[in-house]
Amino acid sequence: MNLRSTLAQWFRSAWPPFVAVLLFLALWESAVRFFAIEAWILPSPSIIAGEAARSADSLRMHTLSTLRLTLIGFAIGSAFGLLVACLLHLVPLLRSALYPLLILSQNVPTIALAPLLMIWFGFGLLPKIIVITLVCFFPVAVSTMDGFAQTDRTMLNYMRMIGAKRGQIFRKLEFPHALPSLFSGLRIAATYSVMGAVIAEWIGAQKGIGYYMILQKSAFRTDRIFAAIVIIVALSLLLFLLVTLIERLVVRGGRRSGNAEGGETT
Amino acid sequence: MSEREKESGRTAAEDRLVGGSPESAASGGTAAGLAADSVRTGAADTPVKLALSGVHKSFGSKRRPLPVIGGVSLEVREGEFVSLVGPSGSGKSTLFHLIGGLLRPDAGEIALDGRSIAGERGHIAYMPQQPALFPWRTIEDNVALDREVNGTPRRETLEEARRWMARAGLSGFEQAYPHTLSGGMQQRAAFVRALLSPHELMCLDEPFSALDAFTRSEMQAWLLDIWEETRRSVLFVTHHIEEALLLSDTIYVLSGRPSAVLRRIEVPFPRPRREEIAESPEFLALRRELTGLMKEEQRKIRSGTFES
Repeated sequence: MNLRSTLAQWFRSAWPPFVAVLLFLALWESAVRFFAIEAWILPSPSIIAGEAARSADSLRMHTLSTLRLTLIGFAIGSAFGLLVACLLHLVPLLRSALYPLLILSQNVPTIALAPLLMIWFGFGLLPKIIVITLVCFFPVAVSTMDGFAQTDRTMLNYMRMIGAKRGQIFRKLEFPHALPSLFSGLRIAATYSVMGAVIAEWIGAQKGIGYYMILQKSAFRTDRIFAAIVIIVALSLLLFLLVTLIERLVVRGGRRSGNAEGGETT
Repeated sequence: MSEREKESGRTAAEDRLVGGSPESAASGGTAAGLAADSVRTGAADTPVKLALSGVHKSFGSKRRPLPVIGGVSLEVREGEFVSLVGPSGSGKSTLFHLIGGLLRPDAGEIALDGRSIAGERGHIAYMPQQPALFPWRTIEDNVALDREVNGTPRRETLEEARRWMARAGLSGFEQAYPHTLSGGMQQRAAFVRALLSPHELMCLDEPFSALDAFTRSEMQAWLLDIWEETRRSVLFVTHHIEEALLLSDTIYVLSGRPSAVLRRIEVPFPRPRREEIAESPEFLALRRELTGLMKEEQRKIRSGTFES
């Protein structure tokens, strides 16, 4: 009953964008045909789909390679971001020293560091993981710290009044309270990590979707580039959904970051 | 541990009831006759739980201090229900923060069981104005929180927690999350949480002020019932005079800022009490007296702000 209504609700909200995408694809297809646009400039969706099916094997190999890289980088970057957030929160002096620098450092485009990292660390896995780590680190660290800072005053006051120790306040109140913020940071990091992986592969790799794109660009295989883009979008969505799923399992009490309003009032 | 405490709290309170109340009721039939000293002797044999003497606290800078608490002395005896009433802005919350150890008094002494606890945390049970239940914990996990913080594993608390939740009309909501409960139910859960605390003294900070009038009077009756059963030492802050009269053994009336004790009143009604006492002439007389005091204070505050 509950599942059914959830599905019905999901269907109600999902069909308009779905139809919009279908219409867009149809428009694209007919425009390409009507204006007789050459395939190396803009291939039609049907050509892209056909080509994707034909080179499925090599696409799968490259996709898995990128996925592996993305997941490793995402895990390390997020863990690092969470660790730094906790550390800066628990040591106020460290926070006042480093937080402004952290914000400033975001003006350095991480992607631009990639060539430098290649020079320092070669073309192996390490420099790529560093790029993704840098890209994931910031949104996780900052939104988690925001979550800590927004800890409910009345709950904090309560914990102090009953004599809770610093560690208890952190474990029992601040950390669980910041979970929705952590997850909204993780969601952003998930999308960034795919982008980071692709760009790292552009700069130097022997396989992966980014490498594949560079290869196809030289051959003017626009259709294959489009196939790669579709895969990148799919990967991003996959990671995004994965994070959302984990959030559903971890965050309790009707206060997920999606519907944060529900928790407060009755 | 707390079971034993409760037991001793009850007997102490009963002693006091037998020894004290009838006398005081006889000595001061009218509100005017209930001035502090005449009645204080009645309860003298019960040990003092919490004693504040000459507590001062100022905020603001050294050069321009803003005195908030200006020499408050009061005491809560074991098993006694004491209320603090005062105009809004009379520093009642600051007083609680001092007792809870979040703040240190500039001068004066705060003692629990005869030992100074000024600036020390972790000696009291507390119920805040907002229920402050943790939204990610189920009600039973919330109720067990105080014990948990004080070192008792959740599992060992659950049985007792469930028993008290049943008394609070929360049966069937053990696994529910706070946002699914009404305001009154949330406050009852917050009260049970404080009740389960291993610390005997309970500090309740305007616990019903956010509730609607009907829920509020329901909660008062419920609290009266539970308290008369457990007889914990309670310090209760309110600005609701009838509430204070209905629940308390002793009422301290605080002045506006910087607050000091204007008047100490022993409430003469015998226990167990019923809400009907609110219609007795004695009750009405006390209420009139207290309302007069409060209005006077409120007026002073207002004229004070105009002056400055």
